[in-house]
Amino acid sequence: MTSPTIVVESTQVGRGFWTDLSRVIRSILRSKPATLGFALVTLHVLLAVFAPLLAPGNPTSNNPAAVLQFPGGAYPLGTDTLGRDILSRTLYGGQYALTVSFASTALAVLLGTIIAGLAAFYGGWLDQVITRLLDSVLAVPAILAMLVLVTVFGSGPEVIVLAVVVVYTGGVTRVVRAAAMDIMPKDYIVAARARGEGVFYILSREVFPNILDVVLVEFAMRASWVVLLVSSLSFLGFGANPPTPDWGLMVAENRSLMAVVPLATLAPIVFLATLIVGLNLAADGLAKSLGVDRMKEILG
Amino acid sequence: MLTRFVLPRLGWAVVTIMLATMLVFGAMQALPGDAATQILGQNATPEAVFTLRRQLGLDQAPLERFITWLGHALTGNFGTSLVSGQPVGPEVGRALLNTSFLAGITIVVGFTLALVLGLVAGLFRDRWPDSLISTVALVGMSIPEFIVATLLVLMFSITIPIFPAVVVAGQNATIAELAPSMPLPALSLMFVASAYIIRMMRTSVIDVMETDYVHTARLKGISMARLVVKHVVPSAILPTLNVVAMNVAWLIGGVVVVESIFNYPGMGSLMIQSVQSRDLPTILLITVIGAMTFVICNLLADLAATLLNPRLRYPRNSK
Amino acid sequence: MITATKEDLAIDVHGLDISYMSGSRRVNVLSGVSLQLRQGEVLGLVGESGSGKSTMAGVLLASLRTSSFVSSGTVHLDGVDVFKLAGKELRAFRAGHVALVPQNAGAALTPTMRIGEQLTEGFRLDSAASETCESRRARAIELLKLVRLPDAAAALEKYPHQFSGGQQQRIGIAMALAARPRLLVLDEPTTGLDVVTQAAILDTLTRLHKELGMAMVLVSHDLGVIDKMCSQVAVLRRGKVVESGDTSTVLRNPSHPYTKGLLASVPRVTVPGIPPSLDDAAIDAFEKGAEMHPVDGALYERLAPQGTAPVLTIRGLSVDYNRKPKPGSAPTVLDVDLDVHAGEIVALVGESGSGKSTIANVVAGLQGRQAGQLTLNAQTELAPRVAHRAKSVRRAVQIIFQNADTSLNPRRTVRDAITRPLRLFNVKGLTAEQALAEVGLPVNFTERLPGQLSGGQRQRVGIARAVSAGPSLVLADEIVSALDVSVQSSILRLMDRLAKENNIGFLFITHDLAVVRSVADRVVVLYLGRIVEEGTVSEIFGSVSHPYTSLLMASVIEVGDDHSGAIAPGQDEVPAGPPAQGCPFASRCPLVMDICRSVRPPAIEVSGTHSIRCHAPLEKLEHL
Repeated sequence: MTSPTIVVESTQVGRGFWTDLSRVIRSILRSKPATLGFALVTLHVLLAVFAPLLAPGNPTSNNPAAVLQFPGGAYPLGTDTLGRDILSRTLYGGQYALTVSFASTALAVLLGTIIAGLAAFYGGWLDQVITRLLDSVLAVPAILAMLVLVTVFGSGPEVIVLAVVVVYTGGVTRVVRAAAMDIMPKDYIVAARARGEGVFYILSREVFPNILDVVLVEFAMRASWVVLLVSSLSFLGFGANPPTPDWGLMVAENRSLMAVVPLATLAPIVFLATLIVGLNLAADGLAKSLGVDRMKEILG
Repeated sequence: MLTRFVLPRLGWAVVTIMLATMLVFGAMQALPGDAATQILGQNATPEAVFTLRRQLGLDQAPLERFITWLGHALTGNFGTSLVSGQPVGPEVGRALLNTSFLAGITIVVGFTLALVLGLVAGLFRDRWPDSLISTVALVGMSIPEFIVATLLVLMFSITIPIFPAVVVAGQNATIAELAPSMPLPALSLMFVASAYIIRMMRTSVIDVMETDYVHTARLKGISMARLVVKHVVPSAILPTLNVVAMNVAWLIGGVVVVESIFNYPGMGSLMIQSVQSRDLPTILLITVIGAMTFVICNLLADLAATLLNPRLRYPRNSK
Repeated sequence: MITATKEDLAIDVHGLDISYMSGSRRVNVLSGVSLQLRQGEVLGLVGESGSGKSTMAGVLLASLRTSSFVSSGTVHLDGVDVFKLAGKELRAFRAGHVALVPQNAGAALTPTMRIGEQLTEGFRLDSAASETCESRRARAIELLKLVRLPDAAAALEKYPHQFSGGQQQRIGIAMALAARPRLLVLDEPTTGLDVVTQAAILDTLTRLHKELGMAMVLVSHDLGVIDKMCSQVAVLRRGKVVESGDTSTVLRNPSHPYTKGLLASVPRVTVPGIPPSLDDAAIDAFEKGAEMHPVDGALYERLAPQGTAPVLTIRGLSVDYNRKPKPGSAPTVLDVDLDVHAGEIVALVGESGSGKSTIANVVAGLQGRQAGQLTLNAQTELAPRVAHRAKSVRRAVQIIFQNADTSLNPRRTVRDAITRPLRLFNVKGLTAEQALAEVGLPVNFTERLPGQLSGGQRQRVGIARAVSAGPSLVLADEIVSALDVSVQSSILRLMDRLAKENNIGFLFITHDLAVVRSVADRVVVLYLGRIVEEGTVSEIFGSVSHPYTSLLMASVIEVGDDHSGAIAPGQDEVPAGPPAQGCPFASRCPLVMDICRSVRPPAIEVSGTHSIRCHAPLEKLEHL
């Protein structure tokens, strides 16, 4: 049953990508949590990009003369065991987290979407094989898979990206495949098949435009998970290599001295938490304004 | 029902576990150097390395070695640890027992609470109980375990010292010895794992509340309690079961961070140690157990869904 | 109209406005509605989509959509102002006073509860029935027997999904009756059911009304159903009651132009020809005070093309969804022969599950077949799969779908939808604008998205997409059944024109006999995947028919019928699949003989074009 409200609104909307975009943005701005989420993410991106201008010191230079300083003077948030400036390290920390997370999420979502499209289009045994293979990858505990990959290939950023892609592509594929499967029986796909259209045309022109919303929400949601996972890896000592400024690593380094220099632990915690809360709120807002059910996304 | 439902899935489960193990085995083959150089160190003579390789069967092709391992594994022999030289079975078994104990507490207390909170949030959609519960869930989803654990330690071990910050009982501690240090790890896990269950339950309660049949039941004039218990919950809990299954699998196979922070001698700690020491037999057994848990949890969720869903239990015509 | 005290009135709605907010604007779903109904009478609420009739049904249960509200007016049921009730009082009122039979009982029954439990919770407040477990059970069985559900005792232990659509609807009615309501509201209770099932359910409702004597409100878009069931009728259009009164007066002697137009636009089984469509703009003008010119009510009678070449020939088509033949089951579609000639409209008629869409999918190359030969234009063999067909073949066979909502990609413009086949099939000298003009749409619609079009406009775009490729055969799958009746006839006229002018052969798949009568040249009647009768439209609707065709005809309900006929019990029970041998219709046939269950009936050639597959002698197949 379509309510009359929807009919009224749908006759008012224009067409095209830009009007769609502006409608989504307006609907996000109408929700306070979603606005807060996007603001937080934007703020973090800006802080990371302009870290070199904002940071009072060098994030990696040791200063044996100023170890475990209290906040004040040249060190607004104090220093850690090696005399490095905590504020500078925290500000620079976003660079690693954001770059690695966004690159790996984008790759995983892209790859997952392509695989999902093919599985949904061809169905049958190909779909079965893809589903079974991905299930096997998902059956390996994510953290174990990442630990093994990092141990084998080293802990450079490109390895972390690879590891995230390995671990998350399966989940993305499941979700996007389900969305594509909903589209496949629609009559306009049947019409295209009956015309004898090829796989590329049907996927790119008929299917993907209709699951773009799901893919976008999937990206926003995975991004928050990936930030969380990448920072956990750093915390365990399998992620960012010292002396890279990274929040997870900073918490690991300074945790035992929480009673002495609490800000060395709390500052990265606050930054990390606000980034992930922001990503989650943004994903929620995006899901709501695009009309995608985020929880069903998780199940795929 | 057994032959139609369970058997094919069990078949696929075995295939899934095999494939998962093969993937990890394959990845470990890419390691530079092998167990022999690991054990003997950098300065060992080539002859010694050669002899050890023969002894460990490392001179065979990877596939051959995997098949040998598989043959032994099927008879219950998972090999000896490259670190301790002891059979890996009992060692991993002890860790699994400890982890299961921690997971058990989390599941019984945390997940039950999560389902109830999700139900309440869904029923009070967009009113204050929902806002409160949803905010807590959002925070739970957003804060990494290491932060939750660190903050809990800060609060309950450092500021108000009522719980121990780490387990000091050591590797071979019994459950009774571990029990006093259980609260903080369990609390951290509950907070993190419950978040998704709360949200899923909320979403599916809201969905069910909007169905025609709940609307019809309301129009019958039945009481709210009866409406919720009889008409809403049985349908709402179905999709939530899958999220519960995912979290249970995670609790058994993936709690590395919390265990390592609290020095809890479970699967996660063992996983980190064995990966660091490249102890392949232990890693493989952990993979098998992790994959098995994943598969069994999903199987149980499907089975429970079938039992709860009459549409699957009594197919209309057995075509 | 009625002078009575408030307590004598089952329903007294006065000056009711129901509104919702769109931004800061207030939009009325219902405006100025006043209705009254005496105890024990039946009121019909009739209207098309967007008329507010379902909102009105909700109002009678004091139930509105969350965003809607009563902005003025009152609703009294039995003298009680229902929108003043809240909480416990409202629950008690609903439990004991008024009950709803929802549109789709399949979705309205809780899937996780047994039928028995769902029924018994309805008579909690009924002290006589709820005392003991046995008395509750007895009452539940009594209710199910009342609605003629077969095997009532066993049904209590079953779950909703284990019943057919018609049976679910019966259970829905039983559930509504559980609390002995004084007012029963039925929201499109038979929409979506097959015609025979609909007739059987309406018979049951008529009987229940006679026996129980409660007041009823029947919401429907179907004037025939309203005419059969209701003593009073109110015609709704865009939230307003345009005409109300005794059914016999309003439907036989309408005074409002909308009622007149609506009645005139309904196709009839008894009358050939396409009815005129409703002039919505003229009625809008009339509502604003303009003069209404008398409308030409003449029907347009289509002429069948003579001696044209066949565009589609099907011989011996069989489709089986089971990969391996199972004992006791039979192919879904068996041994179908069918021809469509150029410029001809051939109707393929059957209930749901008759395999009519399966046949269309086989012709389109989207569904495989086990046996049979398909020939296009008497020369090209059609490959089983569309992937193996030449471009010229794919161009020659086009599809129009039932549901215009899903047949157009919501993210692509009308221009995209139409020009894609033009480019793919290298059609020269036809623009999207011309294609739109061809189907009677304004040329500036090219940049619109499907969401910005009405249902009828979308269906026209679907037709333009199919026709612009220049096909010789079009598969039209239930293309008017999702549309309001006032829009239907304009689409039917379009199909007629395209067949004539472009020499296209249409395979028109439908369940609606009245539409068949109005537009088809030849008719093929399908039952469980087997052809039971075929002939020209006048032969099929003539005096000799297959027992199944006769049953279908007898089940059609139209305005002006005497509504005395009833469906024999059990005739609406459709088996799950065709029998492995004998006549598919044997289980429901009134003329059934022993031979029918074992031997496939032969084709009786009534005339050169009319054949009936039946064992019964021809004289027994003549009906009155």
